[in-house]
Amino acid sequence: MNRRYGLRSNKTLFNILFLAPTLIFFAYGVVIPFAQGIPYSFTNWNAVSPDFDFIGLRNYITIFTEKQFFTDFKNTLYYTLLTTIFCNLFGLIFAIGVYKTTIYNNIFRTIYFMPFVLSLILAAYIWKYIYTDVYSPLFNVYSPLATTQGAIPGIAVMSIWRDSGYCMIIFIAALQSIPADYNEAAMIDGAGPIQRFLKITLPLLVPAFSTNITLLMSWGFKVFEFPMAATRGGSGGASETISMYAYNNIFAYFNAGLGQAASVIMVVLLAVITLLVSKAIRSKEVEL
Amino acid sequence: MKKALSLVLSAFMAAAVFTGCGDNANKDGQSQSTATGTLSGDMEIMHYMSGDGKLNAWDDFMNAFMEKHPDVTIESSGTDYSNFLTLLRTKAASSDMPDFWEATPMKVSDIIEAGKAMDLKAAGVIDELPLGEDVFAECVWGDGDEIWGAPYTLKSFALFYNQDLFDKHNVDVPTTQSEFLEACQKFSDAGIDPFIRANSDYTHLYVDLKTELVPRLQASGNGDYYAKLMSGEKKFADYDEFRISVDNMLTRYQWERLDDLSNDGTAAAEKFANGEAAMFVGMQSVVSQSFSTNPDFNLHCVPYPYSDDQTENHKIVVEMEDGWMISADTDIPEVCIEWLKYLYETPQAQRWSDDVGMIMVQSGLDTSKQYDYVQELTECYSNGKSAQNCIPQPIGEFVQKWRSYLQAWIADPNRSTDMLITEGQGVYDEIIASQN
Repeated sequence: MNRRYGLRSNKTLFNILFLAPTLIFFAYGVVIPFAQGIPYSFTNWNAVSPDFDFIGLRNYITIFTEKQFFTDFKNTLYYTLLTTIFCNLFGLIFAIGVYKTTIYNNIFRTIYFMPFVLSLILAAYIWKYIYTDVYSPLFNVYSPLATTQGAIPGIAVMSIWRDSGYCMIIFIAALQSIPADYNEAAMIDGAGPIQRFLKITLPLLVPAFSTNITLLMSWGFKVFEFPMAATRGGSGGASETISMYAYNNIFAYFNAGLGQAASVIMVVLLAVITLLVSKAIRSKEVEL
Repeated sequence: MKKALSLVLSAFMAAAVFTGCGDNANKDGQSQSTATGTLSGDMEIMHYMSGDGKLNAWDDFMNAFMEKHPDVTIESSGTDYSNFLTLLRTKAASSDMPDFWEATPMKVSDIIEAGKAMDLKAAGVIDELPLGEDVFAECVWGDGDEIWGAPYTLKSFALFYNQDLFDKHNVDVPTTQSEFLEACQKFSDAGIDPFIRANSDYTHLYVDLKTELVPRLQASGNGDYYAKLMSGEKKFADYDEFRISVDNMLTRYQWERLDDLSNDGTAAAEKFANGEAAMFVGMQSVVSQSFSTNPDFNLHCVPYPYSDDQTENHKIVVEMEDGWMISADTDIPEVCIEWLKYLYETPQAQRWSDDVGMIMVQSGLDTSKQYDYVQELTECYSNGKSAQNCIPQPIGEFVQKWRSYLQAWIADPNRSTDMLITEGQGVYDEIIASQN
């Protein structure tokens, strides 16, 4: 009994030690600064001056009565929807094509995953060039980044191009974990490929969908680098996101208190929406 | 054995978390002069310079200064102007100000109010610089008793044109608005785009408007235009100058390119230098980059000819706004002051004048080696053919939100002057209401 307890406590100690660096970084770099910033959201601090006053909930009221915030929230939602749907779709298509381990599939997996290795800023500049100097003159149309209707889809394409490879990796792992017996049995019973995919493969992929959707939603709601590098929120605010709203208020408009309040609201919204969606998807998970 | 190894590895990883912590010992607490009087220290500089001419000259200045003062190290970082002030404020908010930076005090009033900028007058620096008192316009560089920055160059806005294209297509350089529109049509008929634009950055879009608006405002005595708009005392609709300038701008926009809203300054300069368009209405700092693409670019300029009957009021627009500031919190003020004085020494100032393509604030420099268009700008400035931009200028939300709206307006196929006056006013009204 003592030996079993000793082994278990050693295992716990190892787990804690391995998690410690990441947890410490996360706490030091994310949790603590965020918690420290919450009190500033109740002030009129301008990010530079040592003097500021407590103003209660005025910043929060301003945000919920300001048109720009809702525009930016709508832009963020639209962007997140596009990236979540199409990253999963393309990731799944790529995964189905290359999940079996062959030399050629390994090469294609690498090719599909390569965009994910690029920095977000570099990806934004690459696509900015493609839109302006290739797509626009080729089809004799405006760059999507220059139009109010096309700005968000244009930025979403950057993310889809970059992140589909990551989703593919998750789906490949999930596909490879599905026992071959299920499909074989279904084939024997006369099920066609589409039936097998819809009735066997897809339900067993729900955990992978859950993982990807949670991640993509998180990335989508926090998106900052793509619109900042590609359009700076243009055309005319059409690609400004909630992160940029917070950033602009803190550093450009001397409204750090308001920007901090926007950050708090963003975190709460992100947590609530992500939890709800994850819960809905997890309820569909099928145990092996 | 394996468990011990795992423990050691875990401990190492946990310890590695703390290796990045701690002060930047190279920056803080560095002594600035040794007992023998030589300078020493690590100086951090932030700027928004662009273009090979400027950056190469800047690198040479730094290397020469460090050679002269071997115990001084200079680390210089730059970004484009659109991001610069935001980045500077980010550093101010995190108490990580650079020692020396490029800016106009008028645009960083919050940083000055927070006590983060050095009063150069109190530090005795201003008297040692070769600058006349008249260059220190109040509310731009200080409030009279205090001077927070030293001006170096002038920004200028004009009509820039490719002389080779004008010669090739037998188009005369316009001196009136009618001649200007005629020239645009001639180029268009010949298959040449009259204009190249850099409107992915809304600053350049606003400059496109300002190049006509400011001379009109100054001619009619409305130099306090921004101040009255920002206070709510007046509205855009109260200014005929604004309406006429927007009308003329829309007339120019009948000649559009697909890349107008997606070119940044560098892309626009490159295409201009490659002969893709005949003219550029805007900032000289954009066109100065053209020479990186085409060193033989035959670039010239004139004041934008906005009328047929007020040719005496056709002026380039100038802003005496590029200058230098020093941090009040720097540990190496003597190094920063010495660097500032070094920039104004004749060899450096002359090099800047020759290579950088801007009008220098410092007088007495030889302008014969400047590019033709810079000599033309300098001549306009010296001969009273320049209009100082209205001061105080808008800052913060008045800049970003209004110019962002301007970008949405120009992209709207149903754009009109009335729409800009009405909806643009709405943007200002919202900002004013939120500040009250």
